[in-house]
Amino acid sequence: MKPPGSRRPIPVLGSLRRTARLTWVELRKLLSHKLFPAALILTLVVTTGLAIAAKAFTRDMGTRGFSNYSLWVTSGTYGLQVGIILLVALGAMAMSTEATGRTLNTVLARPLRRIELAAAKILSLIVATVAIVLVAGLASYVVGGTVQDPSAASEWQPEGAPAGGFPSYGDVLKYHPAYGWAVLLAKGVVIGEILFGFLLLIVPVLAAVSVGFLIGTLVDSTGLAVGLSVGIFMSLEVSKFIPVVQHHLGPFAYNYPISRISTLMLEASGGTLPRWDDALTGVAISAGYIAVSLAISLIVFCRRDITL
Amino acid sequence: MTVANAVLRTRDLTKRFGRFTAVDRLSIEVNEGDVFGFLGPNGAGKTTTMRMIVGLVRPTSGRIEVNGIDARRNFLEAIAQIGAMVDIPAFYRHLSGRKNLALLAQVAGGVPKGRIDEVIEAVGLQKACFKKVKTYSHGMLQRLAIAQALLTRPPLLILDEPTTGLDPEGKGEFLHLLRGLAREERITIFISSHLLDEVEEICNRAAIIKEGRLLVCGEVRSLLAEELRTYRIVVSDPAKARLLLEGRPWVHGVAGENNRLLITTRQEDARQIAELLVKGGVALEELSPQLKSLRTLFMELTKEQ
Repeated sequence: MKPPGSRRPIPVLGSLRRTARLTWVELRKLLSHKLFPAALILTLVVTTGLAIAAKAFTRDMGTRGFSNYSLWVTSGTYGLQVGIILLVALGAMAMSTEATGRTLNTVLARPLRRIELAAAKILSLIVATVAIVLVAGLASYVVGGTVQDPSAASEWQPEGAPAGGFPSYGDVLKYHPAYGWAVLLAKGVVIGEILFGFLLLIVPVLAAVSVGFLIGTLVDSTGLAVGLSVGIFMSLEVSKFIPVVQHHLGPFAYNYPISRISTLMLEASGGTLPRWDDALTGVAISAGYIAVSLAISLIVFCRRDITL
Repeated sequence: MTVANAVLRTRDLTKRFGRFTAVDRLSIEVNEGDVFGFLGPNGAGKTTTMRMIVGLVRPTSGRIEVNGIDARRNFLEAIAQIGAMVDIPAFYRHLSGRKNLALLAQVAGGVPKGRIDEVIEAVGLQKACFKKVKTYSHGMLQRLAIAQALLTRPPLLILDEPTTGLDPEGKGEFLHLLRGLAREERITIFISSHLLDEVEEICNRAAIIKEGRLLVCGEVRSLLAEELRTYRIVVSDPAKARLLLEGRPWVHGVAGENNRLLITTRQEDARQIAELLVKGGVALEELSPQLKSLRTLFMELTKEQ
């Protein structure tokens, strides 16, 4: 008999507690697996490598019109591509490795609901995605974005600029030291726009990961799931170079916003305020992919018989 | 009405995969303290039944109760009473045995830290627990599987063919471990196996299923003391003896080779074997009752009709 005043625990709270616990377990599994640390290190190495190489190239060639923020954006977004491919593989492996290795039998015969396990896996993948985008964004900023480059191009022009404008932030500061704060403010705006771009990038990257997760839920073989997921992503990336496909289908592909956002970030790095609304439509489509992929994954995983 | 000491009970449990019925209205009871053998030929529905009990497979119909809790309605409460090893023991191969247990303890929740060392000791994996699972032998994996099943101190242990793939020495050690768990930790064990001799040795109760249907269920001793018995006869003309015996309504089976035949019949009909053979002109050199084993019973019940 229950003691007087004792309350039955609210099921939702219990479920949330279990999901949080399982998410922690999934994150530990992710870290203990070689692929996620490899993805982090590769993204870091490729991003910083690109930034250093591009910096050396622009310095040696005396290239104008390529600001230090352009270095940040270019190396960050290209470096991220490597991370995305590995993230897609991680998404595909999240469920399929448990099926191939038959560890689902061991894990699911415990006091937990399937939806809690699936939610934990999805949450851990979101954390992994954010971590990879952050690594790409921060590493490229540290190497490419923080070093003061007086020759960095500036499309922003203060009041009283000579005809034709100041070609670089250095020129503004040199001839109009009083505008230092204004330059700083302009740079702050640029940094803000680029950071917003990196935040937006999380959505299409997550869409690619979600599609991988869906394939990994539907296909029990890890090799097949990873091959299909990465293959589809790479095909969509390649299709960007086929004008007809790109024109008709491109905007509806989940990876479309990645290049669109990258272009807008590059515009921002040059001092032009980007028009995000074009990218936002693509981001909304990507969000749709996330919602549909995860919904199908959850329904399939929660209803299927585990007969591995 | 629920029997107080039934730790596991299935009532008309059925599973269909499309048009194929894997488990057909299965009703069994496993009582507290039982070491219950669940026997059947390949494809009989043993693993599907176990998968339904632990929630891996959804029953098409029927009822599962664990300690009186309806597992389909209150799954979390019911599964909390069970430690299971279904099919081949599977773990995260890149982690050590200990890390696997720590991870699974966290998945289950509420497992005190010291419990991991206790279960490692219980299954005798103290030396190997820091090695990666991918280096484990099959026997070590089986032990680790038992260890993970014991983490939450479950009153019911469900083991699906746990001795498959073990060498004779490993089987002996494993059965010794199970016996110890049942006796010392007072755990009820529900075990499926093909190894009938071993099951006969450690189980006090058993059920035999075929094509998803329950054939017999009860105390092993009483099952073996059924009225049908097997008699060994040595005859001069086995072909003629077969001809005479087969088709007789009181003969339930004729097997064997050369001049030695095994005849299954009721004890009271045994004398008719001798009479029939002598009348038929077959010299009977020997007629002796065979001590029935679980293997004999299993073969009798599951043979093709």
